[in-house]
Amino acid sequence: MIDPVALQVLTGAMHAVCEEMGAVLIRSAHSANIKERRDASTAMFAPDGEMVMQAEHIPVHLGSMPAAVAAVLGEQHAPGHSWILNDPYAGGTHLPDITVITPVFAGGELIAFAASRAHHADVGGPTPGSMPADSSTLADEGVVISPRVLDEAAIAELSAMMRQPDQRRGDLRAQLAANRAGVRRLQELHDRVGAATLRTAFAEVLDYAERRTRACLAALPDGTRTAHDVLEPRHGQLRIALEATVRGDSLRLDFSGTSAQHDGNLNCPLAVTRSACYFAIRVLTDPEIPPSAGAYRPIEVHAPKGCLLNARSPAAVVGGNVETSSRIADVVMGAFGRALGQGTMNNLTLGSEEVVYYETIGGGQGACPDADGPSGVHVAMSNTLNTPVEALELEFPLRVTEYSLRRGSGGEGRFRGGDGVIRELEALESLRYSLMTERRRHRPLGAAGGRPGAAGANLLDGEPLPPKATGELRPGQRLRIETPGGGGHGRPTSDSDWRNDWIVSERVAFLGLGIMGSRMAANLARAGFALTVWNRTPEKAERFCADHEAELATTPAEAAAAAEVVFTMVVDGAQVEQVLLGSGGVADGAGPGVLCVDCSTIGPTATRAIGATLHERGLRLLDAPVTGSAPRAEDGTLTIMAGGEESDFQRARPALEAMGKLIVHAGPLGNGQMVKVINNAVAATNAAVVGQAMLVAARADVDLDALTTVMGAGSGGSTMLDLKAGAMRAHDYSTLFKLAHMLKDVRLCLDEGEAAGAPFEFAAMTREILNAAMGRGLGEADFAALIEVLEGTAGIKLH
Amino acid sequence: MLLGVDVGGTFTDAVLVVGGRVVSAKAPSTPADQSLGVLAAISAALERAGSSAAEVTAFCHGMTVATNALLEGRGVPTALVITEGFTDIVELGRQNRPELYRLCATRPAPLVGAQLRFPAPERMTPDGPLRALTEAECRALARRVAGAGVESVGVTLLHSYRHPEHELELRNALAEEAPDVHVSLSHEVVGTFREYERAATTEVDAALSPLLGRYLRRLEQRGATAGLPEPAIMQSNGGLIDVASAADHASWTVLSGPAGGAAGAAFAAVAAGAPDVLCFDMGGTSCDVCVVDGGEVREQSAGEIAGRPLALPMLAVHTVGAGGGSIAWRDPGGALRVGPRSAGADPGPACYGRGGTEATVTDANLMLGYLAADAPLAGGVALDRERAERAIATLAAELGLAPLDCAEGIIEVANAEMTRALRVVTVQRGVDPRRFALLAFGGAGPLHAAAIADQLGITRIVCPRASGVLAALGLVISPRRRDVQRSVFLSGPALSAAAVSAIVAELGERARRALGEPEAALGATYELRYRGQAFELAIRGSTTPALGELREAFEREHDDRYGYRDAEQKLELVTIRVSATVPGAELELTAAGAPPIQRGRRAATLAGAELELEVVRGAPSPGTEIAGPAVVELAEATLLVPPLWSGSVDEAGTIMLERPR
Repeated sequence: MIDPVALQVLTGAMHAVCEEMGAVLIRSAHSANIKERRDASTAMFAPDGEMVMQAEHIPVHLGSMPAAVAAVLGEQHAPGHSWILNDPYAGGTHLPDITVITPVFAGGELIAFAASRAHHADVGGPTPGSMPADSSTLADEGVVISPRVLDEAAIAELSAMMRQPDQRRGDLRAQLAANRAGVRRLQELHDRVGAATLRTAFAEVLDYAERRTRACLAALPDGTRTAHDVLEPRHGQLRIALEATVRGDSLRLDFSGTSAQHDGNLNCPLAVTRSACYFAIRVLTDPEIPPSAGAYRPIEVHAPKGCLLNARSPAAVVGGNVETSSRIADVVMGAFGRALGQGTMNNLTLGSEEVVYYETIGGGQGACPDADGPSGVHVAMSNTLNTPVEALELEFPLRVTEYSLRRGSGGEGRFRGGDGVIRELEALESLRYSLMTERRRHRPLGAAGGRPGAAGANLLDGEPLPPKATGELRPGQRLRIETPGGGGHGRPTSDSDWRNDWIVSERVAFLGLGIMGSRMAANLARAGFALTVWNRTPEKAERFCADHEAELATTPAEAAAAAEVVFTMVVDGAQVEQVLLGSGGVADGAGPGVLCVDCSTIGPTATRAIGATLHERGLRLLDAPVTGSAPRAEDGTLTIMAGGEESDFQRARPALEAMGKLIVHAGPLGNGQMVKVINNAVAATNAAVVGQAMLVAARADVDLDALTTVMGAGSGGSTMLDLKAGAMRAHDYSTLFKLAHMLKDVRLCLDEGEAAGAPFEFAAMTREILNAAMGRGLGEADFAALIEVLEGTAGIKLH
Repeated sequence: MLLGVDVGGTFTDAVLVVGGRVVSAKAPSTPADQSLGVLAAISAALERAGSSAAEVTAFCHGMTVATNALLEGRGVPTALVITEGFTDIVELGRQNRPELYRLCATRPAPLVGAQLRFPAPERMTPDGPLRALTEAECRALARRVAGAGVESVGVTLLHSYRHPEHELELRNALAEEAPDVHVSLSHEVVGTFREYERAATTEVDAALSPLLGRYLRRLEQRGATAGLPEPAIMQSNGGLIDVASAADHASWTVLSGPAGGAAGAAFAAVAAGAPDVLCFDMGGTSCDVCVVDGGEVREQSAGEIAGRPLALPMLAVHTVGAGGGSIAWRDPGGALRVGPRSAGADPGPACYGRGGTEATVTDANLMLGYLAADAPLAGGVALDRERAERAIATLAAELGLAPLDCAEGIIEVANAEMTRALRVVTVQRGVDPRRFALLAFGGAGPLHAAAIADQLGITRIVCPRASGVLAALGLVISPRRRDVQRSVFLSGPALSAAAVSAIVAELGERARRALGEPEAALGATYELRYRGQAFELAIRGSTTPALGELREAFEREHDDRYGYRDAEQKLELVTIRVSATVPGAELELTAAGAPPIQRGRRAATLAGAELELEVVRGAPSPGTEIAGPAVVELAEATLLVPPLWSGSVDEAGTIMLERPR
């Protein structure tokens, strides 16, 4: 054990070693990418490969270097023998990031490693800049360097395979120079304090960082939180799922349930997944904790082999580093109740045979629990500078026609999300464009009731382009990039006691805006969910969007593409099937794992059949019919009975809670429907019984007020007496629940009863009464109209 | 007789130079109207020198009016006129966030809000107008500005560094429609490309100039009443200008204060025969670091203050947040930390007895015996050793350390922080610190100099006698200077010796005219790059450079900075900067006239050992030998001389220390 002074002095000394390496690297590098954008990091390691300290200039390198040292740890080391690698599947992240590792010897013994990583402006491959938007294997992205010795011959050989070989040589030598500076300082430190103290110091610094992280984690409440989000590849969606468990002073981040690796380039090696997690944890805990491997000891990151976040060779990875990494950070932050930022770097490449121009564009930062999110900044794993308009126009055949803040794109909240950016470029010559962007369909979410930020948009002469796009820009054509806003934090108005900091709102779609649907959807909007709506008659949906915070979709597929949970509230099984599975339906647009929640009342059999088909298409279904009529839909006090798997029920629960008061999980898929139709059959039968009771009293000249008062006070009372007796007496059938719909439900109940071999005679009689009312043309009236049939039979009218 | 007055955070310093002898005086700074403190310091100095205002031939002034306003984000009501489609450029900045992990940390808010940014319906391209600004549009815009109730307006139009026509037309319209509104044009204030930096600097210039103007007019009046000549004002670039020019361009004087300190340090270094020094000015809350190379303070083409860019040449002064008032604390991992929180001047360290209870660097220095408990610090603060010991004992208990070990720990950690900052600053600038001497000044600098020198491998320390008023001294020897710069983008056939000389001559004429000195010496700086690079290197050269010379000088610098040269690559001359200068006063300081020193002894703890320090109180005269362990208690600073360090006092009264390697 060393004392608190030595601890701080040695921690500082280690940091100084890494900082000086970084200063040497940046100073002696040749490319603007390292010199100006500072896309480089340096670190020192103990002989056993544990990272003692790092100086990172860009978060995407945070904590991903240990994999590189691990990749060469078992080799024979000799003084002055450096190693080089960039293979994402052997210690690297993506190919442009090249790592150089130098062992440090003193007194004939290996005492440490010095390592530097830099983003090289080009590492060969078919695309200048080695950041192709459309790669599908690693070979499309450049030269893969497996761990090997870095000497002059290797420098010559490797740089010959890349563009601007002089610059590559210069940058690699700069990395060697940085490592040499680290070697020198560590040897000095060794000579000053001795080998034993240096070993102790390494251990102490690691332990110190660990203690500080544990102290922060211990302050978090124990328990498991989940979060998930999606990426927008060229086809379909990719899902990232996280279960974060805090136990005491440790944290487990489990990404089981994440989509499998895909044939695009959004895949990540585990090292990138780790660094994105560490970034988020650093934000959530204390950024002052030294960036040492000790800080990450209490954090376990698990992603199944072969999934998007732990891809197998030779999956392409270039987008994983720049885009997926952002989304990983988002789910970790989301699990801990933080509003999300733009979540993309908006990568834009424009080029011809003569010139290549690459830029990334800032956007809105998510609001913090105590501050507005800044506007127009890089939000997560990147922090690079823009290119000045004047510099751009002097160098490239481009004109910037607008560069401004996208006002109002940040989500409202007690603290507002930051606004995105508008950047519009006009081509002066023919140029190929390549866009690698995200959050064009899925809005960055708010937290604790804060509103989501606006989704981004890519427009070519006003026409929308997909999130990943390549094509030709002719002279005079304009490419307009509108970057996403950040999510807000906390409810916009402070009059509510809404203080649940753990709830991050979700992207939901609501299909069917009838009497019940429009009121239910309005509650979702009010609760801060990022809402997209669709209705068969578009005017209703347009009106809804005018009155509420919601996006309009023209088809169910379009609505589903922007959502992770899709609610349906339509009339019958045929409509549910059409909306979910028909052409242009939900299944055509939804990404894998999207959860459909059907609130219509369609009967268990139909529900199970639709569920099976959805399952085949990689989607999930929960049936969640509701009871309570329009006023309770309005108040958000419906009763909701759900059928389906427990995990799906939990996923839908926050949204269901925004719409209902009593929410019951009734068992497997279809059980919600079963409970609902039994309940409705009981309600209809009960209403009929109340009606007949009043007719008997009327015939016997009994005062109806006296009757209903006494019944209401005692054993003859019921909800139907409260709700319908007055309506029947007044013959007021203004619709709360259509008689035709009630008849459908009663029939469903009888069908299910018959299938199960259970009789329900009273419901059967009610069915006949409702049938007769239909015959009288009362199908569109409230089901209280069944009194007309009973009055006919009794030959008397109620007064 | 020369007069220099420097306004600092706590004190305003005045120096009078009377035939090589320096007479100094201090007065409390008066932030509400700095001119009051200035006049008070001047009259104190005059009294001490037994002179009158009429004898003052030159009055040089460094102040923090613009700096403070900028730090507080305070300016006069200001409008901006910016090319349509780009009115947010200042707010957008360069899209990087100020802190990697504190996501909601913000850059300072723009001085001009969105509702006062007016779009100009015009567009210049690098090749000229794409959309011309009509006279009617100019007038309409000027009327809108006039109607907005502002005192000042900044105009930044795209590509105006090359095509200033629209900015000039706007000025004419504003002069007619809004004659009382101050106008800052970006091509005049800055003149270089990169619209964000130019616009942000122009915004600062517009918002602060009327404020600075009011102050300078007040000072001028008060000075005139007292019989003083018109003051010359220090700019960030280390040169002086007249009051009217300073009032027109507040952005040029934002680093007026530190520039005086750097100039004074360079002067003291050269006078001591040590032209290569690392300057280290440690005060109560922060320390300023700069590099003097061959007797000249390193300059930079642009810098940043309080998170705002200034695209103007300035002396390269780097500020580190560690000073005597920095508070020591135990962090959650159990380590002893120092700063960045500071007790400042109020309540100040625990030993000031003004209510501070947390242990600071000054408390540790007092407890260890480096500071005298019986002698007041500069400004008359008496130190209370008991309070210092109590504060340190509390922290020591938290850390499980003996109090003396804790006090030494505080010093050790603070020194390590400063060393780390210095090392990175020097490596970044490509300087091997071992080649340099360490020039320590400011109240606390000389206390820490030896320990920091040891860690950097520096073996010489220079401690000027005027350590506490070096900034005021720097003012009186600084040249008068005016810079004019323009981005020109010359390469290929356009980059000819004739073209360059013609532009230099034109800019030089403008600079001389602005300085009011047709014979002023001209110096040229060329910012060059290889075609395609995103950054430039500044090369000093002749005003009629041969292209071969320019290329050779650039390539030498490129090779030195980046380790290679590229003979194949085309050269691009991006920006030409011309400065017109009239040299300042020649000065040779003498150490005569100081009262004799007193010697004594005091117990202290150093590197874990109890020892006796020799105490030298007062300004030692030339030839005095000093050997560690000792402390020298100068009027405004204390120099700690550990064992192994020794030296003597030179003719100017400067203490020169050395240690064997």
